[in-house]
Amino acid sequence: MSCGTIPGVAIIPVSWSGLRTDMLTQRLSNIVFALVIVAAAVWFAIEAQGFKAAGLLASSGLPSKFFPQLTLGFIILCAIVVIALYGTKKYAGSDVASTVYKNATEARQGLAVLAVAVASYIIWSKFGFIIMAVLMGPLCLVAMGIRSPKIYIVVLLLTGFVYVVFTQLLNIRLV
Amino acid sequence: MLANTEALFQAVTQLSQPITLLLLVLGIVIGLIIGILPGLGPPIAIALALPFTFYLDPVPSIILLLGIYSAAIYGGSISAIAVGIPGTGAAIATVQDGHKMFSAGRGGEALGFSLTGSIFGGLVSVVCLAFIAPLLAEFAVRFGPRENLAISVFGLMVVVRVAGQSLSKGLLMGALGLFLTTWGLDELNGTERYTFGSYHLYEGLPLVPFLVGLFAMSEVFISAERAHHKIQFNQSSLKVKLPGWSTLMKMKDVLLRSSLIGTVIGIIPGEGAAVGAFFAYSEAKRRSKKPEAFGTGIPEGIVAPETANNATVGGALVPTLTLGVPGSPAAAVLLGALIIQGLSPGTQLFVEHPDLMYAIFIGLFAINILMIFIGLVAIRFAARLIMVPTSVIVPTVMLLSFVGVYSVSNSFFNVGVMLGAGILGYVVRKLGYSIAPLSIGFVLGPILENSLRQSLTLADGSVQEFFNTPIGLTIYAALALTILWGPVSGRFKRRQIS
Amino acid sequence: MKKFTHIAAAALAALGLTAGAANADYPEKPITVVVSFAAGGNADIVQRLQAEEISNQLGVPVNVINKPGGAHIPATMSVLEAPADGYTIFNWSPPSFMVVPLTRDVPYEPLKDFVPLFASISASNALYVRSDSPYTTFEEFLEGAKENKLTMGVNNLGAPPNLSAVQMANEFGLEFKTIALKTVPATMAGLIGGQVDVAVGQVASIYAYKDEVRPLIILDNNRRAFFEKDLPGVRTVGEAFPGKEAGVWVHGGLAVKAGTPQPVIDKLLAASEVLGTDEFQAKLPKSVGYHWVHGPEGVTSLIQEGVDLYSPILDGLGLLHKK
Repeated sequence: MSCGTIPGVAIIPVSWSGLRTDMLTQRLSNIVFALVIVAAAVWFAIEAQGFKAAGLLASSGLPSKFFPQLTLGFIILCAIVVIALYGTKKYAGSDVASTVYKNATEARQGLAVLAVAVASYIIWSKFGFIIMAVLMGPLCLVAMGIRSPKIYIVVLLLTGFVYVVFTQLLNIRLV
Repeated sequence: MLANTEALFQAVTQLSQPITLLLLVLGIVIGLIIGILPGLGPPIAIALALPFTFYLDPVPSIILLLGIYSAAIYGGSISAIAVGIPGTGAAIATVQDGHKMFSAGRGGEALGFSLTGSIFGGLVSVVCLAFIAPLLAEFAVRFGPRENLAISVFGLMVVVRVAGQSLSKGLLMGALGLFLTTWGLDELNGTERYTFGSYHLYEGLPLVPFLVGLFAMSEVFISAERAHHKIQFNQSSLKVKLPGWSTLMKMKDVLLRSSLIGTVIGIIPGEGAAVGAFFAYSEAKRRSKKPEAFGTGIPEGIVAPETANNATVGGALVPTLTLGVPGSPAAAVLLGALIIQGLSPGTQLFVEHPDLMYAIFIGLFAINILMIFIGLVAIRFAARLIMVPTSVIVPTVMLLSFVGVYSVSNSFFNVGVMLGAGILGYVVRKLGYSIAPLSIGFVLGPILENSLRQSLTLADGSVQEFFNTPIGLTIYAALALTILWGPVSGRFKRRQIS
Repeated sequence: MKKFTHIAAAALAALGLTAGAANADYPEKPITVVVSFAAGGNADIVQRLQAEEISNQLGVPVNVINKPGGAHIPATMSVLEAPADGYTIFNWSPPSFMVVPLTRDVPYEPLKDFVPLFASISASNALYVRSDSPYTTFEEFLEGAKENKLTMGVNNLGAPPNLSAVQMANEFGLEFKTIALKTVPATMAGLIGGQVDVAVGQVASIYAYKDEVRPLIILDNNRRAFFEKDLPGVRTVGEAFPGKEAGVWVHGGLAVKAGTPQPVIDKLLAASEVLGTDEFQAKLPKSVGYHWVHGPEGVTSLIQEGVDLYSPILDGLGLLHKK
C-alpha cells in the first residue's frame, strides 16, 4: 500500500499532517464519526429547547421541539451502539480492520473532485454560470489526473450540449 | 364502471385523432428525457408542457400530460440503473439492485427487467383505476391524520429492512433522515426550527436537491476515486434483454404484489411514488427465500420497486380525478391542467364527463403499451453507457446535477443543499453506512411528525379516540403480523423438526 | 455591424450598465413570474393563464416558477434578490402581502419593497358540513358546536380560511379541534371522508362536491357579486347576525420590485390591461373568483383595506406582530 501525505484529506474527521491512508482505518474513522454525531446531536437537542412558537395558532398536541428531540435521542442511542460495536473486538463486521481508502491515489482523486464541486459552487455564485460550467469539466479531469486531450474535448462538448438542452429546450435561465 | 357505449365511442374517436396520437408519442419522449435528467421529475415535466395545453382540447391535453407523467417516472429508473443516479425520487429504491447489476456487466438485462416491471405496474393500476375507481375513492377519503400515522409507522419498518449490513448504522441513518426534515418553519405553528437566521431555510431542506445530492453527488465522488479503473463487461451485456415468459411466471407474485402496493400507496393523498417503490422493495425482500441477496443486484430487487412506482400513476389519479385532491405533486399539476380546461375534478367529474373518463383509461393503457417500444429504444442507448469512461461521466453528471436542481425552482440555495447532502452522503458511504434508510427517513419525516401531532389533537387526550380508526388498526395489525411472523413461524418449524 | 452593436448592447444590458437604453427595448428576454404556491392550485393556474396572455402582449416568453412553502418568505425574497428590471415579477397573495407580514417578523415590507401592478384572483370563505350532517342550518350547527367540541378542517393554519374559522369561534363563543389538511380541496375531501365534522372552504368549492357537502353560511360581512352565482340563497354572517363580525380579504395579483424603472412598469401595466377584460375572464375556471383592480394606486388602497381589516382581528387573537 502506498504511503505519503495526502493533500486535502483534512475534510475527513481525523486529520493531522502526515496521515497515511493505511492509518485511516474503518474502526478509527467510524468511532470518530459516531462521536461527532453524538456531539452534534446533543448540540441540536439543546438548541431545540429554545424554540419559540411564532403565535398562538391552534395549539397542537405536541410542542415543536418534541419530534426533533425524539429523533436526536434515537440518533445518539444508535451512535453509542455503533461506538460500542467498533470498540469491542467481538464485532463481527467485516470492515473493522480495513481502511476507508484503498490507497492514496483513490483518496486524492475522490477528495479532489469533491473540492472541485465546492469550488464550482463558489465560482457560480461569484462569477456566474457560464464561467463555472466551462471550468467544471476540465477541473474535474485534472483532479482525476486525466491526461488525454480527447476526453477534455468530449467533456466540453457535453457541457455545451447540457447548456443548450436546459436553456433552449427547457427554457430555463442559467445565470 | 357503467357501460356507456356512446361515451365510449366518443372517447375512442377523440383518441384516434392524428393530433392526439402524435401528442401521445411526444409526451412519452419528453417525459423519458426529463425523467432521466437528475432533479427534474414528473411535476416539472408536466408543468413545462402545461402552457401548450391551453390551445388544445381536454382529451389531447390530458393524453400529452399523462404520457409525460408515466414516462418521466419510468425515465428516472434508466439513469438509476445505468449511472447509479435516480433521475426521480421514485427510482431511489431501484438504484440498490439496478446499478449493482449494471456494474456487474448485466446492464441490458437490468434495464429489461425495469422496463417490464414498469409496464406491468402501469397496466395493472390502469385496470384498477378503470374498474374500481369509485371504490378506491371511498378508501382515499378515509385517509386522515390517524391513518397517515399508521402508514408512516409501517414505513419505518421499511427503514429497518433496507438498513444494510448493520442494523444500528441503518437505524442511525433513518433517524438522521427524520431529524433533518424538522428543519424550517414548523408547519403546525410557524415556529422557526434550525433556520440559522436564514429565510432560505424557512421551507426546510428541499427534497429533490437533498436526494440528488445524497445519491448523485456521492456517487460522483466515489466514481472519481476509480476514474482509472477499467470496467469489466462483456459484449452481451450491451444487448437489451426482456425477461422471458418463464422468468416472468417465476416472478408473478412479486409483480402482482408490487402493482397492488403501488396502486394503493398512490391512492393515499400525499404519499408518492418513492414511498410506494420502497414499500414494494421491502415487501419483496421480506417474502423472499433469500432476503440477504437483495442489494447485491438481483432481478426481484429491480422488478419490485419499478412495478410499484409506475403503479402509483394510476393510483394517484384516483383521488385527483374523483375528489379533486392530487395524490402526488405531479398529479397536482395534472389537476391544474384539467381545471384550466374548464373541468371541475371532484365527485361530479365522471358523472358529467363519462367520455373523458373513458379517454383517460384507454389513453393510459395505450401509453403503457407504446412505452414498451419507445422505452426499448431508450434503454438500447442506456445499456451502452457502460462503455463511456468514468472520467467523462464524473464531470457530466456533476454539471447535470448542478443545473438540474437549480432548475427545479431557479434557486441557487438548492445547489448548496445538494452539495451539502452530497458531502454527507459521501462521508457516510465511505464509512459503511447505507444511504437508503436516510432517504426514506427524509421522505417519511414530515408525514410522520404532522400526522402524529394532528392525531393527538384529534384524540384530545383520549387513547380510545387516538385508535378510533379501523383502517389504521388494520395497518397496525398487519405491521404486528409482519414483525411477529418470522420468529413465530421459525419456532413452529423448529418444533416440527425436534 | 448593426448586429454586432445589437449584441454588444444586449451584453451591456445584461451587465446592468445601460439601464436607460434597456428600458426602451424592454422586454428583450424571457420574464419570470414567481408563484409562492405549489403548481396546480388556483393561484398557480390563474397565473399560468395570465402569463400566457402577457407573453402574447409583450412578445417574449413568460415563465412561471413555483417556490412554495416557508411561509411564502423564500419566494418573496427571491424576487427582491433579483434586479429591479421587470424580468422577475412576483405573484402576490394574502399570505405574502398580508397575513405573514402581520403575524411575524419578515425581512420585507410589502408596500415599500414592491410596486403592485394589479389585483385579480379573489375568494370568499364559506362554512360547509357533509350533506348527511344533522346540522341543516347555521343555527342548528351553533347549537351542536356548543354541546360538543367539533373537529374543524381548514387548509393551513394562519391562512384566510383558518382566520375565518377562528373569528367565527370567537364571535359565537365556540371551541374546535382544528386540523390543517393543506389545500382547500383536501379539506373538502377530508370533510366528505369524515376526518372533520365541519370545514371552511371557499364559496366556489361547491362545484366539485355538489352532492356531498352542504353550505351553512358565507363567512363574510357583506354580500358580493359572485355569491349568488356560486351559493344561491346562502346567507352571509353579516346578514344573518347583524353585529357579528366576519371579515375576509383574499386577493392576489402581480407586483414588481420597488425601483423598477417607470417605463417598464408602464409597459407591464399596458400588457396586463387585457387581463381585466370579459374575454379573458371567460377563460377562467368557474372555481375561481375574480375581482379586477388595475394600477398601483388602486391596488395599494385595496391592500391597505386588508391591513385595516385583519390588524384588529389578529390583535384580538394575540397574533398581531408588534414592531
